[in-house]
Amino acid sequence: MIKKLRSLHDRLSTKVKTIVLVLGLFALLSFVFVYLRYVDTRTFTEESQTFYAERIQSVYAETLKRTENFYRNRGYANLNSFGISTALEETNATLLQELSEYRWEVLKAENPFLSSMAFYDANGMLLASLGRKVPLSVSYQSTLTGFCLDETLWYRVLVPWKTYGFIMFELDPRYFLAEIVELTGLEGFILMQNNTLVTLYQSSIERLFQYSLDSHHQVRNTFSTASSLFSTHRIVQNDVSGENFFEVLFFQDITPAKQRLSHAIFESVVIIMLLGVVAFVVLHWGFDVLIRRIEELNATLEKRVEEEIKKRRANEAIAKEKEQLLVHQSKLASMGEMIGNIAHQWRQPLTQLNTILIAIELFYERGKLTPSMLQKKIQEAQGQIDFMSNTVDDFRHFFAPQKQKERFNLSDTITNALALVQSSLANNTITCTYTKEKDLFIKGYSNEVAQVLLNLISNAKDILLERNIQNPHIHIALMEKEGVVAIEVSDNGGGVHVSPIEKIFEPYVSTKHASMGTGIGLYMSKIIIEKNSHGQLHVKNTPIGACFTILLPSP
Amino acid sequence: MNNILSILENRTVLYAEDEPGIRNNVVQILELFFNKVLVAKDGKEAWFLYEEERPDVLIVDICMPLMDGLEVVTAVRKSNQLIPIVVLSAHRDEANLWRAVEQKISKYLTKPFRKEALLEALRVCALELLGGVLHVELSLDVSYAPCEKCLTCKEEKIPLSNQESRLLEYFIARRGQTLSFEEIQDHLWRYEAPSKEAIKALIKSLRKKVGKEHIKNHYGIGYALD
Repeated sequence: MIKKLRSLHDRLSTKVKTIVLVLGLFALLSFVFVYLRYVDTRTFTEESQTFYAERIQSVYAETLKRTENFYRNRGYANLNSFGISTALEETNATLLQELSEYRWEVLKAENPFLSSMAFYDANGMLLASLGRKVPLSVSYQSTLTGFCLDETLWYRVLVPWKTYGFIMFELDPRYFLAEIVELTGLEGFILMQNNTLVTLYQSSIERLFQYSLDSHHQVRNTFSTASSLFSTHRIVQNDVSGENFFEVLFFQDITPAKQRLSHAIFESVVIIMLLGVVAFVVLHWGFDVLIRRIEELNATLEKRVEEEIKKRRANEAIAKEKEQLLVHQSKLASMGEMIGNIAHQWRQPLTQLNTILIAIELFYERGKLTPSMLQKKIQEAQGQIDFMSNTVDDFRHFFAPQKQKERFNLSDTITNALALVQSSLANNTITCTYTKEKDLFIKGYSNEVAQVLLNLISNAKDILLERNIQNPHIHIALMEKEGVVAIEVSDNGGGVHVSPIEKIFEPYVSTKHASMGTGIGLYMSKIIIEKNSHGQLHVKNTPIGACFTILLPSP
Repeated sequence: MNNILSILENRTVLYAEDEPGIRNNVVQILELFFNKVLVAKDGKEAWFLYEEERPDVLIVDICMPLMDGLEVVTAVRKSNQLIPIVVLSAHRDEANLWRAVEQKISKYLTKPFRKEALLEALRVCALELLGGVLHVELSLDVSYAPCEKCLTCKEEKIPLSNQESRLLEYFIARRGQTLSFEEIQDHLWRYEAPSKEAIKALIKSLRKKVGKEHIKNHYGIGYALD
């Protein structure tokens, strides 16, 4: 079962699942709504029915009371009238009969349901009667006012006159049914113990009564005919003897209420169905739209991601190109610097060679060139050529790429590097000093360190010249602090005028005159020191100038 | 014109250069042209030697310790606007060039220089020493060519000795003035003057070659060139 559900779950699309879920929720809500509506309507119907029943009860009770009071008053009025009381006191039956004839007519006309009027003496013996034939003796009791069964059902009102006797009015009980019909419009009937009916008219009520009976011949509280539904209201009444009782029954047609109830439910169901269909259509259509949108979004997202990736790749390629360009420029700059340094180193020996040649030529022209002098001059020239050759070798050694890390004496590297720029500095009357605590050996690429060092010295030289500093000076110090080897290159050139000062290491930031700086020397220096030698390159300003520090890990 | 360099033969040059290798060679070369070569290793020494010796020509390197070449030139120019000056430099940059131009330099040579450039510079110096005059008319039929150290008298060439030509050039430079014996002695020999007789003999020989009517003897005062 669970497996089946799971396979169904797998088979159905998200759309169908969601629609089922939403419609399910909708159905649940609808059910609750219909139920509430039903309960509401039913409660209302029941309440109105109860109210109706109460109203019937009260009308009935009121009618009883009013009727009793009415006839009691009539009785007193009759007894008080001239001759009646005397006739009653004297038990003069004939006189009573005579005197009452006219009154009886009036009363009968007043209420056609009044069936008799009779006078009894103190012993309850009949003196005179008008209307139907009444019992010959009635024992008087104050409680005798009410219903009593005498062959058929009667309603009696007994009015006493001192101790001389009393007057009795008898009413047909249908009078109450008529009164209720008049007041409520509801036709009722009286059901006797022996299942005989007392009805107001020979109406359809008997047929209804037949419908209302159940298998035990009891009247049901609700019953239906072919076309209508009825609710039974009953009033149980005892007669004055307390032995017999009867029921006053009313059939209320509750078909409209029932119809209202079913109509309400039907209406709700129809509305819910309609809404359900609309919801389904909307969901179905909305889902399609939503899915299309999502698919579009996905498609564009994919596209955008692809584009982004492409863009990023392009950027990377550009960055790589830039980096390569930087490296290339740095190489060019280094080469340019190297050539510059060689030029400086060579200018002196070249000039010397030149003067040697001029001297030889001039002496020869004058015939003053002796063999010993020529030999001396040749030796001198040879010396200069050797020096120049050595210079080139030195530079080549410094700028040749070094493949393997090696242990080297940092102090020697610094000394050699200084030798390369010595003449360049001297030419510009820049003094350069170098101090060291001791010889320090580290593992790495000696010529890369030298290259950075030369770059720093070259920068210092350029700044000193550009700013036309008096007594230009460069100081190089080698020291070891807490397991870190530090080379400081400081000058008295006035310092770095870039803020923040670290920006000087960014590519294309040059403080030099445009024609002098490429703007990548320090950038490449930092990269070389950080990437290849795992060191750091820092800069700070001293009171007189800039101080660059190369920090290298001690082996 | 080719021999204009010969007028340097009886002149003194002050040469300042800090590089010994270059200095020695250049001194050897200069000694071929000049009577005397004064050598300075730096700017200070150059200035000191100039004050002391009053050379005829100044050749200085710009890049020198203590005092650079152009500073020496500036100092010299304050008292002497005429002395020919050659500046040697490894620098080609404009700043130095402008500084040099302001100081009226005879020639600006960049190192390394060619023989021709050096000789040209020396010629310019020589020409300046002559005040740009290559033939001096002493009279209608007597003229003097300083470059050749030779008198031309009615199309006859009479060569002059070194001393004779220096003396004649001194007379030409102070034409019309009467030069005392001491003045002549001081100019020609300065501290290491020969005997009075030797000077008299020199004047006599010159007067004989030029013609006595051109160099007059004012007794008790001295000699004068018309």
